[in-house]
Amino acid sequence: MPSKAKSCETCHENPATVHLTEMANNHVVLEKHLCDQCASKQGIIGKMQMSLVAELLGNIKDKQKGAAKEADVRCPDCGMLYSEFRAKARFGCSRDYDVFQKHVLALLEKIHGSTEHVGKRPKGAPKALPAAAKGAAEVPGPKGPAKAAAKAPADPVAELEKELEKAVKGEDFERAAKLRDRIREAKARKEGKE
Amino acid sequence: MINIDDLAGKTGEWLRGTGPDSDIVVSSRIRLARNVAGRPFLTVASHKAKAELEAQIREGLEGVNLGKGRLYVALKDTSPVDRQFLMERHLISRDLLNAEGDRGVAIAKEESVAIMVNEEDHLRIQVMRSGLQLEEAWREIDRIDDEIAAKLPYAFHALHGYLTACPTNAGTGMRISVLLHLPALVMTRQIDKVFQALSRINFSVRGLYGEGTQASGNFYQISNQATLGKPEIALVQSLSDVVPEIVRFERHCREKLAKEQRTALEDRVYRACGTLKYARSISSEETMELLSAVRLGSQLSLLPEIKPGTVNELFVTTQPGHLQKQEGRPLSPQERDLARAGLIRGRLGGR
Ligand SMILES: [Zn+2]
Ligand SMILES: [Zn+2]
Repeated sequence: MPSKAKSCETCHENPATVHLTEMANNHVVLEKHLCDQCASKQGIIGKMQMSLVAELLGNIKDKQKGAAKEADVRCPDCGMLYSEFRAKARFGCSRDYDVFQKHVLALLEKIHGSTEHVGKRPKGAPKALPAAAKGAAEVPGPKGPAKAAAKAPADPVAELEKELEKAVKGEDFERAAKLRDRIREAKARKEGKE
Repeated sequence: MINIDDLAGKTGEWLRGTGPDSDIVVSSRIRLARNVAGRPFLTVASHKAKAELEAQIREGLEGVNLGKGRLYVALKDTSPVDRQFLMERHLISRDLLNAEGDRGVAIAKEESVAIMVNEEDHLRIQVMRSGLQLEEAWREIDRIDDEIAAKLPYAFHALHGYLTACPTNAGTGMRISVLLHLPALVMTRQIDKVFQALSRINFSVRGLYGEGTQASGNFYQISNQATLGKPEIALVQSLSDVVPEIVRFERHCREKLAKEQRTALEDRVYRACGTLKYARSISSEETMELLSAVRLGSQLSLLPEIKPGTVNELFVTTQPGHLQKQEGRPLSPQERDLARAGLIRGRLGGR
């Protein structure tokens, strides 16, 4: 039984898993079917990932048209310009997170729905900043009012209850039952601590 | 001192076909992205900086307990076939294979631990287990990460957490991936439902051997999308909750196929097995497709003589890097098809 999957146009060996269509004037001008390996060699997968972040960055920029023509910022440590970061979608060093701060806050919010790490910390690492010190008013909020909710300090119970509400709405009762169990556990844990 | 050739004779722990739900869940993997504080990210690192980083990280890792049988492969001095081989075993990424300059990978504990050095981030720590074993994988990687942190200062931000070259990895730096074999969901055309449900709750799904949703061999990888804003254990829990649902759905569809379309199923499985046992030349594409049917048949007791581990292993050992490593020389695509068919016949007891 021959397989129905197309094979890669470049190596003619692996199955084509990356399918690209390039459009011009509403007409398909180029269709490409490549395997993961050949797409990666041709830099296509990297480009796809970059374009996601670039697109998010583009959206953020549009929302900030009021503050147009602001000067390009450069990181004093690695020399990267904000405009370069936008093009590459990769930071040059850890300081860039602070140098491009207001863009970074909006970008993280868009990607993760949050800007605040609540997971493990290396021993001796600084504790999280208090909410007041984060300059919430300066954050270019991509989501408007929704952002306030997303930025609330992570309370596991509240988080679970939100998920539970979603599950019930989606009639996913199995998940809802599981979530109820976890909420009960989380509450018990909380009370145990206090 | 062990080297790459010693890996070739065996298979990694994650391919054994053991562990919870291993009829459907091939492997559980957790990866942490970490960078060394005070060093430029690889986006802008010079050749000199990369060399210094690799040396600093190798030295730092020396005091860390990664488990038995450890090995460091400096990829700059490694042949293309060996690099391909490591990638096919999920020990390095395609990006690390294609990168240039000083970089490498530390491997230990029957390939269940791998630390890539100078990939997109300075360190990419990975722990893999066969079957659904996310909590176990998390406990192990958490310990390794703590030990490394004691040797190498990490780039860490009070608000954003672990800092990574790409903002999509910031925070926990953690990507959890569960590799599933879902032939019955594909055959009964239910797979799109699963995709839609998963993307609604922010998990990404991709074919194992591709970025698109068309998976070869019906292997799908499910991962968390967000890495920031939830503690690691909540991310682990969210996958541990959702994967059993998919497993149950796949099992239900398998039972349905076995009951309602018995003859069609048997025909497919036995034809696949027959071709694999007797073919003289076979492409990797056809191999994937047929092995998938044989894997399903072996799980449904249609092929009791074939062990699940053997099939899992063949998905990896029939790939180009492995075939060339086995033959000890570069092979043309035509030669690979012959070598591949020979290897499969041998492993499945054909003629
Ligand atoms: Zn190809
Ligand atoms: Zn910088």
